[in-house]
Order: sequence, then C-alpha cells, then structure tokens
Amino acid sequence: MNAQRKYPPAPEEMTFEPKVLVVGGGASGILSAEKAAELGLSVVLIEKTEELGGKAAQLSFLYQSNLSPSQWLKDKISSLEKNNKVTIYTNSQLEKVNGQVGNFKVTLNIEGKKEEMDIGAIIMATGMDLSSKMPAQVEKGAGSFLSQMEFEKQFTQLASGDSKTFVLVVKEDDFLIGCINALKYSKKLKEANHNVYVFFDEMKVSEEGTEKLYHQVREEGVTFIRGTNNLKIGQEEGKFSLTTIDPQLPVKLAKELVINFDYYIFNEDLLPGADTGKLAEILRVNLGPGGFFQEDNYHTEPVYSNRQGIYFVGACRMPDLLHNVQEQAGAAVNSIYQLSVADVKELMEKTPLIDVIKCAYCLTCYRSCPWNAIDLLYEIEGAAWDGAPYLHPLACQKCGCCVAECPNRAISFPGYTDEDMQKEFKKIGGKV
Amino acid sequence: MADFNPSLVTLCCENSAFLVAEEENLPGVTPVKIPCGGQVEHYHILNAFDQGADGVMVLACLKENCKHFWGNDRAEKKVNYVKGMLENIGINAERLAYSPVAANNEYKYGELVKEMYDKLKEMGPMEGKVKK
Amino acid sequence: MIIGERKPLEEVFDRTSSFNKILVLGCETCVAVCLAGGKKEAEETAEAISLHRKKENQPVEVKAESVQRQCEFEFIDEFKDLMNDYDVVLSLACGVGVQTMVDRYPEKIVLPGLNTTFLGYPLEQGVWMENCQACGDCVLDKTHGICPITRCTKSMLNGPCGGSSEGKCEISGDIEIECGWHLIHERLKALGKLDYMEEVEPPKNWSTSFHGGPRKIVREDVKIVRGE
Ligand code: SF4
Ligand code: SF4
Ligand code: SF4
Ligand code: SF4
Repeated sequence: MNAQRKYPPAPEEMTFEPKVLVVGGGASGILSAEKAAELGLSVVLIEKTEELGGKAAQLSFLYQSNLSPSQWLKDKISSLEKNNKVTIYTNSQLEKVNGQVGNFKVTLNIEGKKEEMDIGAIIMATGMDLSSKMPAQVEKGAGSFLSQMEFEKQFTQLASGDSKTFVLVVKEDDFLIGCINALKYSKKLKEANHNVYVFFDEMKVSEEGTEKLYHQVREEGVTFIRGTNNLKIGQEEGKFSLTTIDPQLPVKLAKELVINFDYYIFNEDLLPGADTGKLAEILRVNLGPGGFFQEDNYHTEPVYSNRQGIYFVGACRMPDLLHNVQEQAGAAVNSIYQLSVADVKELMEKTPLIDVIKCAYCLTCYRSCPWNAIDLLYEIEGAAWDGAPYLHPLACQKCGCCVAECPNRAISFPGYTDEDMQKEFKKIGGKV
Repeated sequence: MADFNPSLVTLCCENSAFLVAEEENLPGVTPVKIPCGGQVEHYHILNAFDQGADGVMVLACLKENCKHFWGNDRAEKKVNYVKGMLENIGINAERLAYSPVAANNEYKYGELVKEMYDKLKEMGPMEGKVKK
Repeated sequence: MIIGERKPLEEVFDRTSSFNKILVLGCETCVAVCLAGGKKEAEETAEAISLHRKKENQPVEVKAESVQRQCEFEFIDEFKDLMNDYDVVLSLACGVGVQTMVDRYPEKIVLPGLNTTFLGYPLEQGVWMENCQACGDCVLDKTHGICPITRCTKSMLNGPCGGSSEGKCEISGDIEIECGWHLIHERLKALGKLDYMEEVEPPKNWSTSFHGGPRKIVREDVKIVRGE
C-alpha cells in the first residue's frame, strides 16, 4: 500500500507525484495527455490496442471545423511522441490501483509485462463502444444500409456522383451525437447536390451553433420528418423505398409518403466500453446512468469521479463532441494541478483525523466513505495492528459521514466535534 | 399555550439548507451548520433536545442530489431511527423531522420551519421541560 | 466475532429506573465492531437515559465510558475509582463482559444493556450473519466450509431433511432461511466432491459443546504458576 510508515504522515511528508496516468489513446486521451504535459506534469499514456487514435481516427470530418480528423490526430500524436514529458505504451492495460490521490500505486500490464508505477492522478479516457443493428432484413443490397460510423469511413466515395437520395434516420437516445452527425452529413451531402431526408424523434440542438445549422440545411432543401417508429422499408428490383405517414398530420389528411433511396444511414447505439465495469471495480468508482463513467453530481465538476484524483474525460463518461472533450480534458488537468500544489498542512487542519489508538478496526469508516478516501494501511508505525484505516486529507471531501458512523468515536472532525456542536446548541432559545 | 415560544434547532447541510438558513433569521430558530446529512449523529440530535430544544429538524439536499451521494439518505434513516428512540423515551416523535431543501429554495425553508414551529407551538414545551 | 444488539430502550429505562447514578460502560472490541456497544452507543444510550429521566422528572447522573475489552480484568481495573461514584453499571459489552465485571466488582450491580446474539460476521455494512455455534469439535473440513450445526436449522450432520425446498428451510416464515444442507450441497458440487453427500456421519460428540456444561480450557504450558 502507501509508503507512509508513520501514522499519520506529517504534512511535509505528503508529496504529490507529478505524474498523470491517462488510460485510453483515443482523441480524449490524447487531448488529456497534451493538456497535462502543457502544465508541466509527466504523463503516462496507455492504450490497449496497438496504436493511438481510437474512434476519432475513423471520422472523415469534424463538426464545425475544416480540419481533417486523421491529419489532426496524426499531428497530435507525433507531437506527443516527441514530447519528453510523455511516455506512451500501446498494447497496455490498467490492472490494479492502490493508494490515494497524489500517491496512487498502479499496476500496468505493458505488452504482457506487469509494471508498478507511482502516479499522482488518473484520467480515464477509455471511450465507448458502438453497436449497429440493421434496420431491416434485406435479401441483397445490404450495402445500402450503413451506420453513421460506417458511413463516415466511406464518406468521400459514397458522396461522389450526384443526385443520390440519402435517408438519415436518427433514433432517439440520450446523446447529442446522432442528431449532430445527421446535420453535419446533411450539409456536406447537400453541398454535393444530393437529396437528403432526415427522420428523427427529437432534434437535439442544445449544442452551440447546431440550431443555426439545422435552419441552414432546411433552407438548403433537406427534408426533416419527425418520427422514426413507422418506417417501412420495401425492396423491388434492387431498389429500396421507405414508406411512412407523417404522424403530425390528422389521419384524414395523412398521406403515405414514399421515398426511393440509395442509402439509409442510421445512428448506432452508443454503449459504454466493454471494460468499463471492470475498470470501475479496479478504480473503486461508481458508474453512472447507462453504465457510463459519468458521475451525476451537480455539486462537482462533470469530469469528477467519486474519488479525488480520478477523472473521466470523453465518451467513457458520456459521448460528446470533440470541443467539449477538449474542455473536459482542461478541467481534469486543472483540478490535478490544483491538488498538486495544495497546501496539505492547511487542508489537514480542516480534515477529519482518525485516532488509531481509539480505533476498533471495524472498517465502518472504510466502508461508509462516499468518496473512498480511506485506505487500510499495513506496517504502520504507531498503529495498534495492521489494516489501520487511514483517511487521506487530499482525497477526503469533508462530509463527516465516517465521523458519524465510527462506533468508537475515533475520528474527530475539526469544527464539528462534540464540543463544537454543543457550543451551537448553547444558543438554543436565544441563549448565548 | 398562546404565550409559549418554542425553540427549534435546524441541523442544516452546508451544501443546501444552510445557505438559506443563514439568510433567514427566524426568531426561536437556531440553525446549526453541518457538513452533510451523513454527519448527523443520533447522539447530537438527542443532545440538542437535552440542551433545551423543543424540536429538531434535519435539513439536507434533495433526493439524489447530495454532494456526498448518500448523505441525505443516511440522514433520513438516522432521523427515523432517533424518532423510534424518542418514542421509547416518551417524547413525541413529531418533534423531530427530516426534510430535503434545495440551496435556492428560501421559500421552502421558511415554510417548513414555520410549519414545524406552529406544530411545536401546539404541542407545547418538551415533555418534562421545566417551565419558567 | 461476537454479535450483539442493544436492548430495547424501554427495558433499559425500566431496569435502571431505581438508580440515580448510572455508568454506561461500552466495550471497544467485538460489540463496537458490530456497532452495538462501542463508545458511540454508550454515549447515545446515556443521553437517552438522561432525556427519559428528565421527562419523568427524576433527574439522574449518567456517564458514558468505554473500555478496550470488558472481558479482561486488567482493563476493567482501570475503572475502579469511577465505579465507586456510581450505583450501577449498565454494560454494553456482551454477556462475557457483564460477567467479568461482576466477577471483579462483586459488590456492584452490573446490568446488561445488550442482548448477546451470536457468533458471526458482517455480510455487508449493517447486516450480520450467524455462522458458528462454538460446538467445540469443528466439522467444517467435512462440509467444506459451511457449518451444518449453525446453517442447518436442525443442526443435522446427515442432511438435508425432507423439509428443504428450493434452497429454503421449511421453518422459513416471513424471513426466508436458507437450507444449510442445500448450501453444503452446492458447495460440494462446485468442488466436485458430491460423494460426501452419500457418507453417513456417526453421531457427534456433543460433550465438547454446551451439552457438557460450561466449558473451560486449561493450558498448563501458558499458565503462570509462581514458586515452582
Ligand atoms: S469525511 Fe467524508 S469524505 Fe472524508 S473520509 Fe470521512 S466519509 Fe470520506
Ligand atoms: S469507524 Fe472508527 S473504529 Fe471503525 S475502523 Fe474507522 S476509525 Fe476505526
Ligand atoms: S466483553 Fe470481550 S467478548 Fe464481549 S464484546 Fe467486549 S471484547 Fe468482545
Ligand atoms: S462445526 Fe462447530 S465449531 Fe465448526 S463452525 Fe460449526 S459450530 Fe462452529
């Protein structure tokens, strides 16, 4: 466990390892590594596949930007490779995490070899998985049906020629990506003189600029039809057609709308990466809605986990757009930086303190800390026996939960001791 | 009991209720800042009664909105436990209440406290409290 | 570990009603760990007694203390002076602790404030489970780690009986009780040792258990005998 032998360590003995572990070598990981290195922190970037880039490497273009994603990534990767603050390991995974913020002891599996490392903070950027289900059974011509990602990969080829008909179907989910992709494709396809129909359930335009884009492509002649549930796909002599009834019209007026199309593009189900659950266990962090890493806590920054020093950036917390991911990376790195320069002595004056002499080693505090800020330490001078609970001042969020649960009242919380509470109660009824 | 002015202690979570309680200066009400609903101890609630409170309220964040994830739920459960203790002791359990209050809901804080205050007024002084 | 549960407060109030100076003494070992009788519970109980007495208009002097292990003479000797100031001790230790106190302070009245319930372990925070009855002749080797004496409601050595259904014991009422022999069967199956189910266990020697009267262990090798 931690290297602290004295209990509790004196503030000046508490060091913050200025090294960040970034897990995942996709766009989110690359952006995080870049940000951390910018602030002078060393970075270890691990990627489980054999090369960096992740899903972003497969995109053909970015929303609201003329950069080519593959070129953009290549530039980023080569500058990371040149940066002597950054070490990159591919074919590598996170296996074990001990300790607390500032002094995590992580075990990595680097190309099959185990390696231990001291790490100050961890940024998870493990991305998401896509699952695409064909919208219909077709005998032949399955190539006309593409998920958004497949479409991206072949975009240049498919968008060549002109006057093809594209049907973009965006089924409702919890994320913005499907809609924004459809808008982004509509614009490009329209520029290349194709016919475009967009079927959607909810048009999500909360992202800056998307509403404008929506109006723009509408004016340019993209047809938007609400409702994706009653779409019938027909096939005749290798040609496909889509039949629907406009659900907005009263039944009497509603006429069947038949669209003959060349390509049917649908949004994938966005799922948390297959390892997310396992990693959550290794990291002792909570999972959020849908099994993503997102921590639904409006009191804290969106990139925070329920453990100080562990952050979620990019699609592993919630699928998002690249410029938002960039901001997340900034927020995570900033927080790491703040912690690395925090005045531990001052912090400790306000943090609960466990008196191991009074402790019954019942593990209640360890089990009931919502922030998993308590570790069990071994071979500690001054502790009655091994497994002494140690409340880490940098990891603690000062909620007092452990203080209240301790059966031996071994934890004292400056400002909220019995005496402090009694002083407050002395004021009852206007007495001072 | 028209001339009885109850003393009410509100144990307020600093992330929500205390931000409001600080602003409202209600007569007869003693707001006490706590770091989170999870910090509430049975002992402290009983102690507040022992120190002369006629009623105690624990006010924490809204459901599923606790900064510390489950502090508010723990607070509610602890309040229910202490209510049981109070009944055993012979004190009306209605003298203790748990409510969630958002940091921006001054109105609700005011309402809740007033409601409790009126209820206490009706109940009269704490069982066994020496009347002045 | 010894698991206990605080006695209902009414009972505590009733038993202590004739005393005016009460020392509530917690124990900081087993019963602290199972959150029933540590320092915190002692303070809580003391506060409850004080409030109750105030309400009854019978003020009382009550103090909460706790001791490392209430079942050790040397530790409780520390409280000698304090004991003299109080009429009664309400002990929040297990029954062992209460009796150790009585042994050491025969002139004092020591009341149990706790019901000592069983030997067990925490399944999770706030949930405890009984799994040993201290029979004095452990058979866990045979059943591969699941105690038939405790987990089987009828303490059968050759189970299950005919009352095992869908993994539940026939005595299950509102609270479902797992059939111990079902658990043993599943465990043996997982280990590929099901043939044990066919074996017939001879009657167990219960004299090592409570049936032989209160037990005592004497070890000459560790006993200190002076002047030899
Ligand atoms: S005060 Fe809260 S965050 Fe800090 S160690 Fe205790 S339970 Fe954990
Ligand atoms: S809750 Fe208290 S007694 Fe239990 S392990 Fe933590 S500090 Fe020790
Ligand atoms: S008296 Fe001894 S056996 Fe009983 S709870 Fe205390 S330490 Fe455990
Ligand atoms: S066989 Fe006896 S000693 Fe062994 S666990 Fe069961 S009751 Fe305890």
